Amino acid sequence: MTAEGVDDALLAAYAAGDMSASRALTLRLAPRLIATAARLLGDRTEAEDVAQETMLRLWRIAPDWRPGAAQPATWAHRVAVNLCLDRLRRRPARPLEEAEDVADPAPPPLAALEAADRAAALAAALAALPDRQRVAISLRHFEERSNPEIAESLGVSVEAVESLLARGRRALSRALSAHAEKGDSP
Amino acid sequence: MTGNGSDPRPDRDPAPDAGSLDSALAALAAAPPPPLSEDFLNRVIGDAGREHDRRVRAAPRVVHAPLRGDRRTSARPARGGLRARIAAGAVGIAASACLGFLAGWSDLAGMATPGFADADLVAAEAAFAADWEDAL
Repeated sequence: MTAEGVDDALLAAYAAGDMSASRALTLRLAPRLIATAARLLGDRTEAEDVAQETMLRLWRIAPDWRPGAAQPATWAHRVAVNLCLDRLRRRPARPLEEAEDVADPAPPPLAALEAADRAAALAAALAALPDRQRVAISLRHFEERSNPEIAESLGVSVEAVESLLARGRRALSRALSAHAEKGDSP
Repeated sequence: MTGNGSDPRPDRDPAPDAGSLDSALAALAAAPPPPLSEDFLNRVIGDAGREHDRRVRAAPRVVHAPLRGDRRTSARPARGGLRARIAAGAVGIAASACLGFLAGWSDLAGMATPGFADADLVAAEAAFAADWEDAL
């Protein structure tokens, strides 16, 4: 059985009253939901809230789920991304100009950089980015969305998205360079 | 995961070491997600249980009245009804036999006439019995 078939079967089992299926399905889907939400929101606790809300919506739709019509993992991922974007819109808004004028984010704590590997350093730097830069980078590189799609999600122009991506990438590169220098130093 | 690697349009302010950043982003995207905390797992499973309970409570209850056409409710009464009908049939057959027997006696007595009353029948039977005794 394929992974998607397993998810379908677990969801159907839950809908039929098998509570152990809900645990198995959570273990299969939630880690990636949290990872995605954490990248977008820059906050693990908030990311868990989003993942919990996503799973709750999955439980609610379970009795009406039609196997094969959609993949539970894909459906949940899409819901999680939309929930993240909703939360980001509700955050205290800062004008785009202000976000772009923000100085390059402070590098993650030195201790974290020393203790973590390169990917962890990058994740920390990503979390430290201003919201819009982080979301633009995450949607572009992790969700594989086009610049026009990102512009629509953020309610900004395509040019503004390009600027956000450029600034975000530059900040991440600097963080990585700093991490590499620390690693090279005795 | 990064698909086409760098952005389709060049950055207006190119980031230094873009290739290294792209590879790092790809590695981050491919990195296994961190494990779930037990607290989170319990919260989500608790939600699943509550949602299931809510659905069960909201489901319409089955009415157990013996409604005609309701297979769930008519199945059991149907078996009892069959037995009752068989019993009633047996009683009916017995009653018919009795009536037939009485009618036979009435015929023999020549009194099988419409509107024959019970008292007349008793009298006829008594007369027949007397005649029979006389004949013997």
